[in-house]
Amino acid sequence: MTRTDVLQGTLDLMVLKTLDAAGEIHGYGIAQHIQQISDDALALNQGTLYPALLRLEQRGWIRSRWGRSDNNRKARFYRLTTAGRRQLAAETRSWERMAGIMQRLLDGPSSA
Amino acid sequence: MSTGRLRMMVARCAGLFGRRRRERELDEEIRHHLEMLADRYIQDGLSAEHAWNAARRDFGRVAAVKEAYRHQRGLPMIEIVLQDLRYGIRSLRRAPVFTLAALISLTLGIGANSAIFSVVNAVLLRPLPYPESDRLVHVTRLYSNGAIGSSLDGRLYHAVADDAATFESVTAIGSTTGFNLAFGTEATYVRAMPVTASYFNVLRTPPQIGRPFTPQEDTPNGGRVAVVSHGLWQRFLNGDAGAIGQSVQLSGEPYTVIGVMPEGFRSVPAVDVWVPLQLARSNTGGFNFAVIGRQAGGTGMDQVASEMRAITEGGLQANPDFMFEGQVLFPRSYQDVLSGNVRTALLLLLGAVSVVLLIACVNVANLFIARALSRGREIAIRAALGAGRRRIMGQLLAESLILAGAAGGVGLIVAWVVGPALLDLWPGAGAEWRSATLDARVLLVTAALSITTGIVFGTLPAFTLDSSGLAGHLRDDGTRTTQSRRAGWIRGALVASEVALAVVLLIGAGLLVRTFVNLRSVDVGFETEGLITAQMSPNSPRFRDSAELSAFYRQGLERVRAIPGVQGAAVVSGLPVERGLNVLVHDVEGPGGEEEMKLTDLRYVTPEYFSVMGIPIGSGRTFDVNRDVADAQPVALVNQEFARRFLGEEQPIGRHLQVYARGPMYEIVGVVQDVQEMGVGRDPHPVMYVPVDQAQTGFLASTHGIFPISWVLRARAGSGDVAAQVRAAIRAIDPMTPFSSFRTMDQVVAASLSTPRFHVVLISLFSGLALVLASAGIYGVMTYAVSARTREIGVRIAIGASAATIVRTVVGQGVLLAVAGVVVGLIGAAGLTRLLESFVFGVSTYDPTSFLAAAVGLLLVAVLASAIPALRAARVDPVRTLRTE
Repeated sequence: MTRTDVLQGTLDLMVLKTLDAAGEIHGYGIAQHIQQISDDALALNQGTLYPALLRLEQRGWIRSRWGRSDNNRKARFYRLTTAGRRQLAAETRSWERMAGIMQRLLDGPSSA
Repeated sequence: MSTGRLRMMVARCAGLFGRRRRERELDEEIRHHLEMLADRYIQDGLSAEHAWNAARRDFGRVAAVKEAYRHQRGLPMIEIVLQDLRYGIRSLRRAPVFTLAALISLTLGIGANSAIFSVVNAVLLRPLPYPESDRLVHVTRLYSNGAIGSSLDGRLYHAVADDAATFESVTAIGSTTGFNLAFGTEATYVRAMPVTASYFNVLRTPPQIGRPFTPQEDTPNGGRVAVVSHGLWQRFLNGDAGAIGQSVQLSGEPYTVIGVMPEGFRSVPAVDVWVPLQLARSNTGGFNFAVIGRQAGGTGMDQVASEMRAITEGGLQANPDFMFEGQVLFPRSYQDVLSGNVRTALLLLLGAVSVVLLIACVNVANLFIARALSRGREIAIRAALGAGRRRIMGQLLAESLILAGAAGGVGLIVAWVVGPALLDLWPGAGAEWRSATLDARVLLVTAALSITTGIVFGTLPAFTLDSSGLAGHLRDDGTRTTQSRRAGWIRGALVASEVALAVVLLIGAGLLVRTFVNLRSVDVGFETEGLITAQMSPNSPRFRDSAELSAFYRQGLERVRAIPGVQGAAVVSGLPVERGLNVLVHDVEGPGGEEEMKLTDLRYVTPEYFSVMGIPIGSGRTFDVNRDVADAQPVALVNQEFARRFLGEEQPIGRHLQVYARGPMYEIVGVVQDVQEMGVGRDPHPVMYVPVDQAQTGFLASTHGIFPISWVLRARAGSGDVAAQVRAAIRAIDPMTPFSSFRTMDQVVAASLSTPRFHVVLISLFSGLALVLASAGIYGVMTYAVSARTREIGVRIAIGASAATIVRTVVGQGVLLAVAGVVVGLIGAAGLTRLLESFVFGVSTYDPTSFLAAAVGLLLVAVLASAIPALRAARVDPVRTLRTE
């Protein structure tokens, strides 16, 4: 199975969407969620999540707190803020627009 | 800036703090993630070890994640700087010898600069210790030849005080006088300053307790009132507020204390008592007044100057005698006037000390280059691992800034300790009313100095690292390093330039040392050995009359001579080497008219003075105790300079001199030899001596008002505490006229040389430092050159070069560098020593001895400094060096 690299700039959107869907969840959970949704087709170095999480938190789109995970381990849980929800909506729209453009471009006539 | 970016900035700034906690939290988060991953693989049936490996694979490289995380967390720029600093400290600690050498060089350089600058700051930059002192203006006379006077007469003072609209208030300060202050049964010697009532307004400092003088008290016969210093009040009046209104005796006259000045207030010169000047409007009072004005708000110095010109012109129109021809009233900033006499010396020493810093910098730059070269491999490896050129330069710079910063810190401590001491010892710098404590300016200058030097010697080595050399270092086996041509050239030039700088300083020091030696060998004109002097102030109405005064001296001298060990004693109104009262005398037999007024020093003596001092009589006779009495023919002695300057070829003996109009005519009965009258090394000065019995009342009042008189006594060595016995002897006949100081004549002479001595000590210290630093520089470069060429030397020895040849080659190289430096230094010094013109005595500023000595000295040092590495080179074992290939 060939795995697709994570496209530059898309990780933030994936994380925001995951948090929107899963509610409050720790880093491992986010990674599992992305892997499951992508059917393991994504070549994600899970560690790269953490700088992304920090960046999103610094922007005020997500917030974190320390808590206990299912197996009673200490873990850091992240959730979306109101600003994050707005950002997710905006980024979803722009992604869809971009995807539409790409689609039209690729569907267009080719010389071959 | 959008709120998002602002939020990001705030978050990142916050990220700079609590690094340790955040780092721990990240570790914990990563560990949690890895454990969760591993758990899942174990559930899938993998062994613990395999599960862990799989988890690591999924997670990616932990170190890279952490790096990216840190990068995101804080401000990368600052993080990098902090990291560079930490790295710098670590790598400096790994090279303690290098670090110590660099630190010592820099600390000496920066410390010396901070210390001298703190004195410059105190004397030239800090405002005078009075409120709004930048508005204080000293008014004096500008002569047509461009010279500037120091005083005004009463008429000019009144003109300025009455007419100047650019001044808010104006004060006149009279000559400071020694008084005997008595309170109850205690007497002490104090300095008093007569000032106008406006004095306290001009300086904006009223008495802390009591009140200033009223204008009425400042008129002739306005009353005897005094304001005293805080110190005198504490010391002598028991610090009691009840002292206000008390009566004290000032040289026998009762004065009422009306005020006490605040603690810390200092006049210039510092005195303990202020009395009203009481200058009559009709009295010009001679050119004896320092006039200080306080500029009105909103006026510039230009306005003051043009108003002073207008007052001069107006005054001359009303009265042609208002001022001498061609002179004009001239305002100068009081601050500038007070620093005038030490300004040049201060700036020259600041120049000298910056040269020392420059040399220190050159040395450290050299050390850094050597270190950068020997670290070539380390740097090349880091470059290969992806550190950019800028990053590597940044790390080198961080090291130099750490060193410079540390040196700056120590430098501040040096300034803090040495600065005030230096000011105290600096003759004429005004330590009694200035302070050289650290302030923001000294701090700032030291910091700027440290950072600049750090940047200068930190970036220099970076230029010697050419990128092509980096790859070469990687191929290198580590036991030898190739010194790039560029680095070698730069290092040579650096050493030559520090030699040049050291030569300049050494020549300066040589000139001042020779000056001091010349001054020391000046014959003062009398026997100083065993001569003790004691000062007192007979400034009291009782002693206005010469009969009373000479009776006091006669009685006192009798008792003093009776003290065992005392061989002779006399009294003089002004000690040689110090100075006496200047008067105009009229040469009666001369052609007459204004031109025949001679400006001479006038001193009274008791008849034994010349024999006690050992001043030879050139011709004629000396004073005679029995013959030259009060009602006999008034007689005078003049010194040789008086005869030479005023009487030329004519026979002095038998001529008559008149000191004051209608005064007695003194017949010259003898000529005495010149002594160093105005200070050691000064030009000869005309002096006229009269016997105390024949001294006029006016002369006594004038000289006692300004100068203390001196008892001189010759005592046999080891005759015990003569001073205490003399004190007791005089106290027994007059307890109200105490001695102010006891000094040996050698001390008096030494005090006259204190300024040149001070210059010599400082400049010698600085040039000694320069010499040491320069020789360390030569040594360092030659040592490095030898170690870099060990293989080449080994080969040479293998093919038959003798040890002597090797030593000659290495020493020759060192000497070549030194010669280049010495030549440049000699040329530089030839251009610069002119600046020392006013400081040298008996030696030309192009003195060949000083120039030669500096050149030879440095060449010798160069030979010695390169001899050690040369000998090491000669002992190179060719077999070993070749085997390491």
